[in-house]
Amino acid sequence: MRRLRTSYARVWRWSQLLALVILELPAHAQTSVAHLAEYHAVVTFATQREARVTATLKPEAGVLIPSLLLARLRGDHLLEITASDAEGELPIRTSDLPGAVLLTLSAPSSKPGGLLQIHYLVTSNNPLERIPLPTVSLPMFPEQRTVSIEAKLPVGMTAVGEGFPVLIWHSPVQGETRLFDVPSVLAVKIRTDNTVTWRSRLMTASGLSTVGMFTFLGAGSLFWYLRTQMRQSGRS
Amino acid sequence: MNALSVNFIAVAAIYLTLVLAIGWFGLRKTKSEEDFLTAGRSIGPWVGGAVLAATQISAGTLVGTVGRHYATGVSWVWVWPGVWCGWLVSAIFVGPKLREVGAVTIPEYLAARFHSEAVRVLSAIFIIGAYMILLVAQYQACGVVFESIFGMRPIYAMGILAISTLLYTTWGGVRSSSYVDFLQILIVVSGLVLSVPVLTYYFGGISTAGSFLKSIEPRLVGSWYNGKQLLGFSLSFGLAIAAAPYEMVRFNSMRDKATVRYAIGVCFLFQAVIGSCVLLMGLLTRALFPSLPSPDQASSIMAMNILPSLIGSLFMVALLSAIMSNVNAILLVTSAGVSHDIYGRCINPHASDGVKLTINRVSIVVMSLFPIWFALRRYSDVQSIVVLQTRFIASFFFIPMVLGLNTKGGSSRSAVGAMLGGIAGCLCWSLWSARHVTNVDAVEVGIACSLLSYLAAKTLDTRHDRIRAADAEA
Repeated sequence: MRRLRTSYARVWRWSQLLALVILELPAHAQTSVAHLAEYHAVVTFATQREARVTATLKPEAGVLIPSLLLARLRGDHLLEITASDAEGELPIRTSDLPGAVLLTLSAPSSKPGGLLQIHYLVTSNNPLERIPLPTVSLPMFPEQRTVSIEAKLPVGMTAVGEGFPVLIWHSPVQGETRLFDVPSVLAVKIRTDNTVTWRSRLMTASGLSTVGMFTFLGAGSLFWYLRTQMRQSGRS
Repeated sequence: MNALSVNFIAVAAIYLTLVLAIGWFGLRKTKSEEDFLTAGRSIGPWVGGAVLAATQISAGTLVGTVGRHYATGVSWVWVWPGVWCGWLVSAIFVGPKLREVGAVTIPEYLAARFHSEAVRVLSAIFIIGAYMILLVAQYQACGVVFESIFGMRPIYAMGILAISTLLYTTWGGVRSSSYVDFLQILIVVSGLVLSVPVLTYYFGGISTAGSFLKSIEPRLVGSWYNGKQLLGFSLSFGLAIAAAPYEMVRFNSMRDKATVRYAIGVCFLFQAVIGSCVLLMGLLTRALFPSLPSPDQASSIMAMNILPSLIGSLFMVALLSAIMSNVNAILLVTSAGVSHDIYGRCINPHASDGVKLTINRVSIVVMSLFPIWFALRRYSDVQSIVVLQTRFIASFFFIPMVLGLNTKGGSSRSAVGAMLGGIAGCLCWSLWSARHVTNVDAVEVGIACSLLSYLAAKTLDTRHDRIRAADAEA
């Protein structure tokens, strides 16, 4: 029995060693990654066509945020971009990339691990449906919901549909969500209270996809039923 | 508990009830070991095609490939032509011929083709080893998904996966797994097709997302991998699929040769839809969440944070069902290797059908639990583990399978040589290239070694035969 146990242990040890060798093959060299500790963005709508964004970013201790990206969405204009930290306004350079605006901070004036605030105005000729949020190449710490996104609407406006990320509305004009990671846009459809109809509530991404799912299931079931009926009638 | 969790539990409960019902139906219809392993050779082209697609679409696709597109952008899509070439080779040179032979397992076919029990045992051992690696990837993906949605510890998620898959695998064998696969592929396709428009809408269109991705990293919409790297990946997937034992087992359950060809065509259709959706999902998730800590999280983050809760739940169930389908297919192939090829031939050749069926079910239980220990260690991302497994399968299996089915000659020595040469070449090159920069993929070395070993052994055999014939004449 002891011999059996010893040989079992040996086989187990060798199988572990072999698995370690084989499974380690695709592993790339693990490098330590810097993280973002906190992220908080507040999107304040002045009208349907204008919103002001203030994003507060806190990297982990000793880490510097060198640059940020703001997605350039169709029809949106990004204006009055400024940056600040606890000590006041910071010099910032903006450069246009194919689909984004790159915000570069001058390294000496921003403290590693310190709070950084980005402010800007988003305007559009059409009602705003997507607001770009500043993103950095640093991931958040895993398993911690330290990203918060807040939307504030003017009185008399209301959000229609779920949007992205899904906000929890504490009141008709204030919604908030907490996430694990930083999104690059806030997609929210806002309308004046008197223009919201059942049709506008249904014609949202979530409404249409849910209808699509039930249509798919219904059509599939009907097809299956008709096929079975045809087979049975063929047999009889 | 959030809306996604509630919807997910409801959708998953309905789905699991259906799966268990199908498992029960399979149990009632299964009377013998052959019935268990080939579903009485009764599967038609549509269910067969869906089964082939479902067997291939796994966590590797819905977690790994989405993650790869998330991390490296568009260029990974060039792996698909390799996959489809693999299917073409399978449709022309492997599937119909194998169905004609009618062997219950792939090692059984190899043993009959090369007149050798050593070939049977060696191929069974290699199949079990290679598929254990794939099981590790499936369990790891399941752990990541449950951890992201519920914050559940991965070991519990893996336990749930093992138990639920075990139930319908040990109950009904290939018959129930075929019908469950059909259901699964419908869920996967509907989940993917409904998700893409939602993701596109949230970012304001594909071209806007493309421009933003170009700003994040130009290679995301260009060439992340060079041609040689892509060729290596395509060869790994294509050659592994052309000779994949768990796909071939599915051919055995189909009615006839024509059904196999038709089913491969249906499988193409499903894969084209799935491949396109997975590409767009990876890219759009990167545009919406540019800095996730791990690419493996892209699928679950997308389902949890981007998609509407009902569609997100459907996607998560699709993902878990794909994992279950894959685990199920792997367990069927590996347990058949244990019961039919190792136990039934080497340990107890006089074992009855009932005993072999019991051994089969016991080995399914053991092998479903074994990879959990490795999956908990997260050696690498899911797709890298899948690529590793395809390299091994292609290296040791492609040459003896495809040459065996399509050429005359070749002895047990050439088959054993091809398998050992392939695996040794692939393993040595993998170890060497882990420390040196090279543009040659391990699968290319593995296949070359396998082919050379096969041909060398065949030439030696021919010479021996000539000498023997000359001696006999003398």
